[in-house]
Amino acid sequence: MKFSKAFFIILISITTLMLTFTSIINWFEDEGTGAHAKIYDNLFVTYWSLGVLVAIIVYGYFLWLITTEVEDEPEDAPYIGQAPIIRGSNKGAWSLAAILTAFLLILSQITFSSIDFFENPELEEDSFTVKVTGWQYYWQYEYPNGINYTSAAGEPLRVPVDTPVVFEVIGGDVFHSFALPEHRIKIDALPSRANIGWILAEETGEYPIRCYELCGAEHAIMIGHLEVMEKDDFNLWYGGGGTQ
Amino acid sequence: MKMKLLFSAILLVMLLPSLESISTGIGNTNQGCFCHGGGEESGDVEVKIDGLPDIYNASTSYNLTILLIGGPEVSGTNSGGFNLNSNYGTFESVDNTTQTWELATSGVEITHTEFGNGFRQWDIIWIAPMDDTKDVNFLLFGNAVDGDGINSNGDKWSSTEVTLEGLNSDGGSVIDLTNLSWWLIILTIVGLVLAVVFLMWKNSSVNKDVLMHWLTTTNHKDIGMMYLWTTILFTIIGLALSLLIRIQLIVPNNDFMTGGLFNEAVTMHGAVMVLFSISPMSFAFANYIVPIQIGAKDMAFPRLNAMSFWMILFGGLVASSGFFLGGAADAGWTFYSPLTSMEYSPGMGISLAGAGLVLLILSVTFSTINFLVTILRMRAPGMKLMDMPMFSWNILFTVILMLVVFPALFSAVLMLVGDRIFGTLFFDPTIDGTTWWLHIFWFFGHPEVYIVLLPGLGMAMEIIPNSVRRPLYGRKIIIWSLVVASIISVLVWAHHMFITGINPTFRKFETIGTELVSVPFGLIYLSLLATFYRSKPNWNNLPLVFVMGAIGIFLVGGITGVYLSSVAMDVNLRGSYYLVAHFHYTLGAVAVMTLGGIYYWYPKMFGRLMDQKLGKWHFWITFVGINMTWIPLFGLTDMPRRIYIYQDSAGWEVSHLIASIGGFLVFAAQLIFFYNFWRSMKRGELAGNNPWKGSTLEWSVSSPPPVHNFNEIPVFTSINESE
Repeated sequence: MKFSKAFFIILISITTLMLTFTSIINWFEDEGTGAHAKIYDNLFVTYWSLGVLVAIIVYGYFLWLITTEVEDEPEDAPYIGQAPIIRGSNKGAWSLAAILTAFLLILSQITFSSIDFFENPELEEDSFTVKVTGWQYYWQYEYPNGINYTSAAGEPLRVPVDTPVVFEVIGGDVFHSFALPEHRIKIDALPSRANIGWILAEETGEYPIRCYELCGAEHAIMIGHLEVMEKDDFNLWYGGGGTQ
Repeated sequence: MKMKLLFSAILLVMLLPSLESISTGIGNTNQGCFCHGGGEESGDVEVKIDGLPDIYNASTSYNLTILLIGGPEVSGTNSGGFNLNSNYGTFESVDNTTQTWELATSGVEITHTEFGNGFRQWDIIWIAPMDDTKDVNFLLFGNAVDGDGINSNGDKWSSTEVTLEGLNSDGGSVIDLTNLSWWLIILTIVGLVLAVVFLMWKNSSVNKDVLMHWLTTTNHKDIGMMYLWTTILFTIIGLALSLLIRIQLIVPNNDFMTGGLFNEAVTMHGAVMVLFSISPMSFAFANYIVPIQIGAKDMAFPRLNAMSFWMILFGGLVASSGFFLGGAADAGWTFYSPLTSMEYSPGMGISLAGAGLVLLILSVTFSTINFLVTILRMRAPGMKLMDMPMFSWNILFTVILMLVVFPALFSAVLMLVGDRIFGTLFFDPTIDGTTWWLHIFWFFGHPEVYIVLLPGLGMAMEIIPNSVRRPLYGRKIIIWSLVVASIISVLVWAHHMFITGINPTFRKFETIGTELVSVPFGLIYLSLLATFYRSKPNWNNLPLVFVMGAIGIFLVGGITGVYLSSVAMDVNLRGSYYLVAHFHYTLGAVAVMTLGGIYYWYPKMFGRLMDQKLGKWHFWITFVGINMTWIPLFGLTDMPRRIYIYQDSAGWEVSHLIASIGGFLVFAAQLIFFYNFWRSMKRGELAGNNPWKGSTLEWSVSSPPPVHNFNEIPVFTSINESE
């Protein structure tokens, strides 16, 4: 059993890899919601499948290499004072580089079609922009009609369902990052420059809003909520100037 | 006799903190009420402050209630009294049962009035200070009396101390230098250390000459050795900090650390591990091995080399000293502006880290010059660049990258320190200093990852061909891949700022660039594997075992990195635990490769082999531990990094529990390693000149090598001339 040790190492490595990707798969149980999530989750599955494929090829290649082990000391074994010997073919390297490059360029194209969607909101008539400001350690929401409140007292950010809503995000004091993990969207909140992002919520309910950039001692408790409401409920609240 | 004296002295010093005057409660006139007193503090009565928030906001009023619970039955008109002292803020009375005490010896005080004698509960108001960066201490004394008007044994008193953290509190230092007890403890520790050093000195061969030798040496081997010991020290600090993080996150809502302290731990773990541990540990070998590998007698500038070492040592110590001086840096190791400004991080931590970084950068710059000149000008006659051993090649690429990017960090740190100390406003947020910092920091930060990685890869490129007894596959391809990777690495910094609002076209360029990094690294990776073709691997060689473990880990880090290079995926994965798991897989792989390097060159440095059995235990526990720590955390794509607390409802606790156990395994494995390292220095198997049948020049000299490496400079015959 001269391969036993090598085999053991490979086996563990492959298990490692599989476990890693399995844990990522687990994450899909917590499925995202909204227009972005569909595209993002598809993209993730694409990358994930290709990643596992590449890993299997590489580990498989290595397993095969191990089986070519020889009994005696190879002729070109390094010994002291010997200059390095050149081994391997440039042709192989060039073709491999070409394949890898092509593969990665295709991956980039898949990415670009998604990011174009993220960047260009398909606005509708009743779409509107909410100005979101990050403060240590709460969010401030300003609606176009003047409704203005913060998440400090636990009040959620309210948006209507099935309507594209644009967020204009800015940092009030330090660098924050406004994120809706369930909707797979994240917008950096830099002081002095507003960044734009949008969501199209497809299901009513409450979702967490979190800060993803270290913003001070209580960064961990900078949690807000997004409440996706029925259109009528939202209009009632919105038309009433922020009272229900 | 001397020993007894010494130990008595140490014992005395250790006891001193407890010799501070024992307070007798409110019987003390200074405490505001002298009606009752005497006797020991009683467990029968409990004093409490109700209504304190978890964290106070500046200048906010809080309604507090003082409560006495238990104690004697009330028999007369009097039933109790209290005295409450606070070091910040102000007290106000609500009614005539309480009064603020003007004669407070320190801070502010409030106590009951004569009218307030008849209660065991009082309402008061505390107004928080305007500055919410301070931790406020409350000291409450309460006396429950039986009402007979006599200081009899029936009266019971008790005290309690509460510390309240401010909203912007830096978490404070564990060690409070305003408190005399801490000074005594520190002095005790220093005294103990000095005593141990003194005793060791007296009882061993270590003498003044040896000490002076190490302090003044300019020999590259001695300096390499000192780098190794220093980086082992910093690695222990970094690992200990990571354990603190793992303890804090082991259960939801853990109160082991405050947010401020957690941020300090996270920041210093990152900074120490990346800048003062893994990278300089490779440079321990660069110093020790590279001159011998290329056939030189020493580095080109030995004194400069010594200076580099002392600067990195003091740089690391200065950067970490914040823990003892009111709080270490707490803005993340990336030091994003404006959180690093004086306004948001008023402590000394970030300035100290800046000072440490300046020393580090100077050290790195001197090293760079030294290695460039040494490698380019001092190779043995006949050795062409292409003949140079792969480890030296990788060090060459590393120092070139350092030369290119460390000046960016230098300017960034100088500007940051200028902002903090002189108010220069380089990173003024109103003119978008935040983005400016991001660009300049990541121009350094991204190639820094390769600076950490390349020496580790170089070790793998030495160890694999040696252990499988065949030449490295695709040597030239690897070298050219390294050239390409180095060039790309300085062009793709903006993938760290995909969603900061940079131009969409620029983002696409950076996405493609980042993905293309995998082409040269893919070639290097596959070449390393292809070396195994028709070879004779010796799986009992510990270095090979470590390097292959690292390569297994590295593939996971590499593939998950491709996900992050996609701008659309980065929108969700940025700042999450997925990212943290990704870079721990790549940097963890480098750390394991470096461990392989230590096992490989240890016999050359100490003349003895490290213990095989302990080494295998070390490997397997490390390998399992790393995977156990980071596999579960890959799943937490929605958990923000650097949060010190998470809720039960988030559903992250199982992952964190497993990860924490893994973290402890990794630490335990390193303890085995340190033991093995220490033990093998004296008791390891004798290695001889060339235990691994190596082919590079360092294996042609004795172990450890003579002072000037070679009796006569070796002449090298290149066989690549035909090409």
